[in-house]
Amino acid sequence: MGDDNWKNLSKFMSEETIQGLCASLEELVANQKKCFSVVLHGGEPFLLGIKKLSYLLQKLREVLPEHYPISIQTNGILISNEILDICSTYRASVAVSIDGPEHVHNKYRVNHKNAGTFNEVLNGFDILLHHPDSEFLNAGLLAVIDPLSSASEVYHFFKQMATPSVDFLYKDGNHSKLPLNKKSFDSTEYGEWMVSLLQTYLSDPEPMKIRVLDDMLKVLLGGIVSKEGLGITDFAIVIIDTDGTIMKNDTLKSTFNGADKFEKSLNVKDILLSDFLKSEEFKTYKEMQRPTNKKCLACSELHICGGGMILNLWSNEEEFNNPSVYCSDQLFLIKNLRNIVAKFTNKEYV
Amino acid sequence: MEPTTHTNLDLATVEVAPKNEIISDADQMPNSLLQRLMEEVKNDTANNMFAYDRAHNRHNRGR
Repeated sequence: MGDDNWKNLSKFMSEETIQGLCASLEELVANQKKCFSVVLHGGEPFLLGIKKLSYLLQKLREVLPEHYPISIQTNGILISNEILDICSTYRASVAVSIDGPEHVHNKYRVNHKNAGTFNEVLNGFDILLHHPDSEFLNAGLLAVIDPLSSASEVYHFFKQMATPSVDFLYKDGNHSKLPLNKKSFDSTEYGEWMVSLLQTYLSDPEPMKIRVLDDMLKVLLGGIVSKEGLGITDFAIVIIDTDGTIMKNDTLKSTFNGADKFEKSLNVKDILLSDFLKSEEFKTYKEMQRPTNKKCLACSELHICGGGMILNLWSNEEEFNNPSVYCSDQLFLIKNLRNIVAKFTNKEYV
Repeated sequence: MEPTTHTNLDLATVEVAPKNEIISDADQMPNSLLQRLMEEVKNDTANNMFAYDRAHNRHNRGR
């Protein structure tokens, strides 16, 4: 959606960049009280190949104790037992992106020849499922919602895949470029799909885990939430590009070209991450997560939705000072979540 | 790079956001999903770094 930063980037991190990154992470481990996680994402991380992947994970694990998660988000196509052995050695978990059954997945997920990738992804996931260290490695599935699909069909498809969990994401979009198959700010296509998913989930006597619904239900049950873009939780995410440049959350790229860039271009080869994390520029970026729009600040559901993902707030006129473009969807979903919790607990929630 | 409770969120939001009632007896809930979630809330596992993979969100969602 309008980003061209990738044109200037090398495909892989150099050894020098990896060394700079690891030096920063090592210092963070030593001096930051709280644990953090490292995620390899792309593009496609497994395009690194055996040798480069092994080197990168080895270097990361040398500075990150085992209770600091390293995880990899992959399209699943390049998964092999050899790659999984490396991930197992360095305790890096693997999450696979798949959107649902073949006709749902192949609608949008195609290779360079415009052919659907469903069978290749399924084959990769099958290798992951049957790896001797699968219990650790298999971190679940990630799907992007197509509101035109059947939520029940998607649910049952994932359930028969024997995945430990599934997470669902809304498509990128904002007020100036509405998400695919969402008619207007007030329409609730995604919310209705989620409610259908919720109903299927609740009616399953042996349900799998759906993170986004679990998180929202947990807040209603008095808990706290663990997902970016939900609940009143303060995440700080920085992206390290392959050349070592420190960037904002890459999801911001969908708002305008260069939205993920900090004012000053800083590189982990030159500075420590911890120094950057103390800077005013980082503080300003982190504060973007806090909704500023009056509607959000006055909303009784803010503690559940958290104002949504930053990328979904954008409009060309008001920039990030808007409710999420998914506000109506989220309110519709939350209303249904409340009703269901009230029904099952015989407590008045609404 | 870490999740923390958003304790210093704008005061206005704290004032308008009602505190949720914690359901103390999971056994009273006749649904297996809600029972599991209630147990997780009681055991405070929501921020377990390994509870769910945190790689999620790094995913092409534009198409």
